[in-house]
Amino acid sequence: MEKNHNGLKYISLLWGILYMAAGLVQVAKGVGLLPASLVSSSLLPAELAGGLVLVVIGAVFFVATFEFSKDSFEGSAYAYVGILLCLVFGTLYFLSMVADLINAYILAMEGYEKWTFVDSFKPALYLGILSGVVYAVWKNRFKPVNQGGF
Amino acid sequence: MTSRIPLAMYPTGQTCRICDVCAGKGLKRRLMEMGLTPESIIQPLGCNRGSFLVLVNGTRYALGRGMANKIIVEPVYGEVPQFG
Amino acid sequence: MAEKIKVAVAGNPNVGKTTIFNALTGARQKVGNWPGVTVEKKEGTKKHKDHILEIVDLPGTYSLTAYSADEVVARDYILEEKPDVVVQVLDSTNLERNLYLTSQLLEMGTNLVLALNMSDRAETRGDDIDIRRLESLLGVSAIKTAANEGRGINALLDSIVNKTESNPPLPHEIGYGGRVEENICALEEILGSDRELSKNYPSRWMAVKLLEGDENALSKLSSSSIEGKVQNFLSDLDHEEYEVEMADKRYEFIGTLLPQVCTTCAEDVSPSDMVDKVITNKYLGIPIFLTLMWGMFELTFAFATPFMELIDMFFGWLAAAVTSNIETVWLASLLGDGIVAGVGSVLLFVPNIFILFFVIALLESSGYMARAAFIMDRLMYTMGLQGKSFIPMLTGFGCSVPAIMATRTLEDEKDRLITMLVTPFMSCGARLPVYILLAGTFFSRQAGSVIFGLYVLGILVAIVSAKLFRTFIAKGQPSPFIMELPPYTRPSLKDSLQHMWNQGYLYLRKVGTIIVGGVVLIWLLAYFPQGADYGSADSLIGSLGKLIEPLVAPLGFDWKIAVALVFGFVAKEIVVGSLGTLYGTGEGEALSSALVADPGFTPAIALGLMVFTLLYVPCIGAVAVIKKETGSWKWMFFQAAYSTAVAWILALVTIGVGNIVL
Repeated sequence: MEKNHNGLKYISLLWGILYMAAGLVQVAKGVGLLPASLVSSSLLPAELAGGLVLVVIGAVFFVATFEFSKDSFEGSAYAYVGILLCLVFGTLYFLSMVADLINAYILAMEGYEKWTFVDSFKPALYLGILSGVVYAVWKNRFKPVNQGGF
Repeated sequence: MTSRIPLAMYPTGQTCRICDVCAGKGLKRRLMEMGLTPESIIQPLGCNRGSFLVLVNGTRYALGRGMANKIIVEPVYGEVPQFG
Repeated sequence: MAEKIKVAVAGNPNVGKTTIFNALTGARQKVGNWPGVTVEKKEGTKKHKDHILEIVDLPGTYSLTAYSADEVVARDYILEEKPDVVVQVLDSTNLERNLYLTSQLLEMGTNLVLALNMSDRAETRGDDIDIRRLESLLGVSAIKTAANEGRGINALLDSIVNKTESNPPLPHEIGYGGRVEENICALEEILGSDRELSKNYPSRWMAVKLLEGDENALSKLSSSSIEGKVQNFLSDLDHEEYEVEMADKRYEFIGTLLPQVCTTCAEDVSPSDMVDKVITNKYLGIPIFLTLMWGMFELTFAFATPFMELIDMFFGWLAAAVTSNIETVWLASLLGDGIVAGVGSVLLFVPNIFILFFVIALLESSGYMARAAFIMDRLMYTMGLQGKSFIPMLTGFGCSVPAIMATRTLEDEKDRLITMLVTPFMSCGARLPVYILLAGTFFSRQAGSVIFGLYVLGILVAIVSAKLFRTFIAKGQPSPFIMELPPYTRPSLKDSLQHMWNQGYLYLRKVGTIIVGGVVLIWLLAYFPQGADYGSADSLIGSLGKLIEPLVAPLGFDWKIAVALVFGFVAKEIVVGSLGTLYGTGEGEALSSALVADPGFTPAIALGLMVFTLLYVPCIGAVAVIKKETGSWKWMFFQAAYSTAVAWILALVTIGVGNIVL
């Protein structure tokens, strides 16, 4: 039990930082505080709403870390919800990439002439894939307390 | 010695028992039909801006503050395991 | 020879009734409405061992006391249609409460099969249920099922068939004791004197209901000879006291039954409660909720684009093919300009609507929706409503018609009325085509923000209106909020797709009937009288437009917009189609350029038109549902007049401000 939590604690902290940072950069770009071309305009796009989503997910992980640091077992529930949100939004961005792909290459829609794969490779997607890997490896650690009920 | 207070004013996280419902008979029956029978043990699970989450007879319910004010409870000691 | 068996599926909410129904019937379902009320009615058939089962899904109810529209529907079906077998789906982990409904079904003398669902969950928990014992004590058949894994479905079908072959059951009697029992006997005697009545309704059951003060039961006596006698008898009694006493007795009955059939393990706080703690966290609850809502709309729009493009291409091709291949000019015009272009413009948004319904089904079946209602309760309370009102309003983003039907879960009449009146302000999928055309044409770069702004405006108008209605019309407090939270489950893809299809099908049917009709009508009006140019001011439609133009002239709308808005009442999507007809351009690019070229059509007018479309009288389907559900013309007309007035005023303000700013 204790050991599980230690691993989860650091993952939560790391994920919290990753999502929060990516989210804040997107928000800052979205409202014009940072130039859109900073680092990469496709890997870290200027997207206000999308950025806020990442910030919320980051916050969930921060609360998880905070709960873990109090040695509260509730931390794992926050981490679990956090990782589920990562997966949900990873899937969502994946689906919208699939849609873009069809638009650009199969339907050759207007406005998609310059579209490349990277344009849809948003933070929520690559961080989501990363989360998927972590979740697949640590599935049992994430599920809070016991196996039943889910 | 028992002290009876509305669920809304009950300290969170402690189990209690339903003594009475201060409401019209229609609502009282409705609560019974939904499974909130008199003498049931209530285990509060959480509270969010005046709304309550409770566990009663194995089912979870969401209660608004208004509803929580109508359900009168008394404390129960050491019958049901505490949170954790 | 196949024998037909009428089966009704009943049960509490959240016990997996829909999953059982889907598993029993497969995908062959028919969705319609219950006669008289617009509660959704699902039917399906299943062939099993030389028998044809006609299965009807009754609404989920906690009891059969006629407390809400749902309960009346479920009860009347059992009473009037007399199904051969009633299957009650129970949650094995909460038998006590579920058996309450069982006790009422037994009192009605139904041929009952119990499906003890979620038995896997109960077993994991360590519960032990002796179903043989339960069967013999209650005189019913009982089967353990786990519908999400498909366990026990075949056994359930077997036992339905077997049930019809066994002897009909004796109505089960619960001894109420003392004065209650005395009164029941006395009433039974009075009721028994009317042969006709006692043939239709079990006397004891009727007596019990009358004693409980059930007005719906009383109304069933209205044409009988003994109504006066019964009224006299009842007038001396205080129903309220009996009501609770009788509910108590039923639980007492269950209380003596339960220890004999099952050993239950004490429910401890489960992982699901911990997830609830996170999801309903004071600070994170609302952000997480908003995040998911945003995700829902993002998916609805992003993932639908390729499908929309395909549909658009197909109808474009079809329209061209029709016009170029049919020689008769008027017929080519009717089919090409009228039906194909019109229906195509509407079908274009089917992907959006299907995806939205799918996501809502996912949220609902995962158990999140109930939590969302809980999170929103506080906010809803400040606008004079309660948490449960939130679910219909969310559905309203898809289509107002199912949303207004969904208000039936609200028990309080005033809550329900207000929710029904404000739900049409939630911007439904049908209004989207209008925004996409106008915002896309006039605000190309900010189109997304403009559309988002319209959604927000709709929500704000709903909030303010709810507050106004609560203050002036349906005075009082919102009824206290209580809602069962179903356990979290991994949403079933199959069930969600089924739900999406059922809801989407209703929409498609609307397209097939009302909208085709509307489109043909517009075409006729635009084509005649002979000699007039198609859709010009000289055509019938032009004259109509000129006639009503003064009504919207203060807003700066011309006759074309006036006509489009009138037809938008048929279905709001038609606003786009009729503009296309009136500008003589059809859909898409050509219409956009024509609008930009029209000097009377400024960006401010476009914005005003979008605001007007959002808010004015909902489509004919929604208005009809309001009439049916409120049961009064008054509220229907009130809603129509109120929303149109709000639309007119806010459009005027929008255009006024727009003229200065833009």
